[in-house]
Amino acid sequence: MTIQEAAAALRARKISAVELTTAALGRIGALNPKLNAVQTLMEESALESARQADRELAKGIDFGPLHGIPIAVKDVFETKGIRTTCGSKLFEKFVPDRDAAVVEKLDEAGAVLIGKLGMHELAYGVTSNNPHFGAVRNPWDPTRIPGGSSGGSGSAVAAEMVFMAMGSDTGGSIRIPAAFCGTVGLKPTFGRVSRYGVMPLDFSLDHMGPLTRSVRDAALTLQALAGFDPRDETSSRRPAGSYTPEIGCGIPNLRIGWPENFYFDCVDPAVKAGVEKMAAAAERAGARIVPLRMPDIDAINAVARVVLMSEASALMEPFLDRRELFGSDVLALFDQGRLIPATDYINAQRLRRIMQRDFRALWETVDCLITPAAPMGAPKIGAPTVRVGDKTEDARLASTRLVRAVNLLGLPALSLPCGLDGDGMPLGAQIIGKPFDEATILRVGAALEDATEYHNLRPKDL
Amino acid sequence: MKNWKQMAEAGGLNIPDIERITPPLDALEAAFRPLVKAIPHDVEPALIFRAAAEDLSEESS
Repeated sequence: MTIQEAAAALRARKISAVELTTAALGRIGALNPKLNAVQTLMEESALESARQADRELAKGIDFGPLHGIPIAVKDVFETKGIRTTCGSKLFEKFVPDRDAAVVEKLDEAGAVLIGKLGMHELAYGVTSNNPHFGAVRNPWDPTRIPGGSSGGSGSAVAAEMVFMAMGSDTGGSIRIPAAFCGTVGLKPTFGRVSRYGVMPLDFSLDHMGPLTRSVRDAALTLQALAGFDPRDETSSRRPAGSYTPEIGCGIPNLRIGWPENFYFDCVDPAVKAGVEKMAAAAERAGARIVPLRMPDIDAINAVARVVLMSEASALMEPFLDRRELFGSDVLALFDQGRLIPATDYINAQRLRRIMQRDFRALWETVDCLITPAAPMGAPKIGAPTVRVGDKTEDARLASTRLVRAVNLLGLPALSLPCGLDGDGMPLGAQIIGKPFDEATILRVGAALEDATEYHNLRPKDL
Repeated sequence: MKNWKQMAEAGGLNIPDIERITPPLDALEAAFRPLVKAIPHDVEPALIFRAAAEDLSEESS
């Protein structure tokens, strides 16, 4: 069931918010020992919120499609009075005295917050194999990672514990778990969703967005979250758009760019086949596929890594003498960042301007791009390397290779399921849009969902 | 290539087993350094970044 379907059932009195929440709690109780997706369960407050939603809806007070819907947030979002660890030993006892802006907005929309989700330590990695709180596992195969850093969000949505889970994305951390877990993941434009009250990894690369079971559910969540927030210096004053595509929307005459270089150079053949099928479905829905040469994405990725490592290490500098409190993988990244000189960071930010200008020229010929979200299905837990086609790659670099550049450029991007690999693991396609044009990528995603069945695939044996 | 160990010592950084973490930095250095050499002199850093340039004028108005 999607949020749209549950919302319709709530308003038709076929189900109550308490029943939806009780079912979600039951599902978590049954599956979380296996998956470790939920780190902090908020059973009592969730049931109270659900009872309140039922009372409000019965009186005709309707806050919109999220009203009465069980959701969860990555443990990077501050929640007043509820422990917020960021997956770190440093913050294992941190209880914020405020809600993140995203949590406020979801509360205003009447959503039922059911818990806080597991993640990669400090949101700095793609495995969600957390040394302090345990490995989060992939519902499609619990011996594999769910991706990260929003691994609990991908796992919880794919396992149907909640209808929507919020994630954060600094170098692919929404889109990677969405691809590996077979869900939808939306990274909005930088500045579209407030970062206020989110424990930062990287000042200029962090983005907040939802993981859901359908594109339209991601759109209606963005509708609730988008808007200016003066408490976030990078928040945009642009008015929010109208994001939710109508049922049966087409994409007539839309120009979708198909990269001739980089994005398909080294991917599992099943990934390429899946994205090709999505492109064919887009053509059937009226779009035009436009082959094009991309700017140097390897260079953009290199610049993004300099910015990421510099900003992340600067942020954590006060804590880095307490080395025993960090996992070895994130500590290595923080140490690496401390060795990057300030001149390189400044020059990376200068290159970012040039790359933004180069990429802007693309939008004169296409309305959006279609690419893979990840070059392969989810790796095994603990695997340092992964096979991609006939090559062996570092698992972290392979997972982020096709998604990192979009963070440097601040562009909106959507990951949606596009099939399964030879091991039966989900694969993701990525739709990349112009700045603040989330409406277009969501319409493309919705049209592709209308034309295909990949979003209906579910993990077996749960 | 840079001598990361000497750089760490000069910066007063205590990084045990530094050799273990530097190969990725060598690879990044090889990709990044040629880009720096090609930056035109008049390009300013994106220290306050917006995904669309119009936002800057909106904010300053």
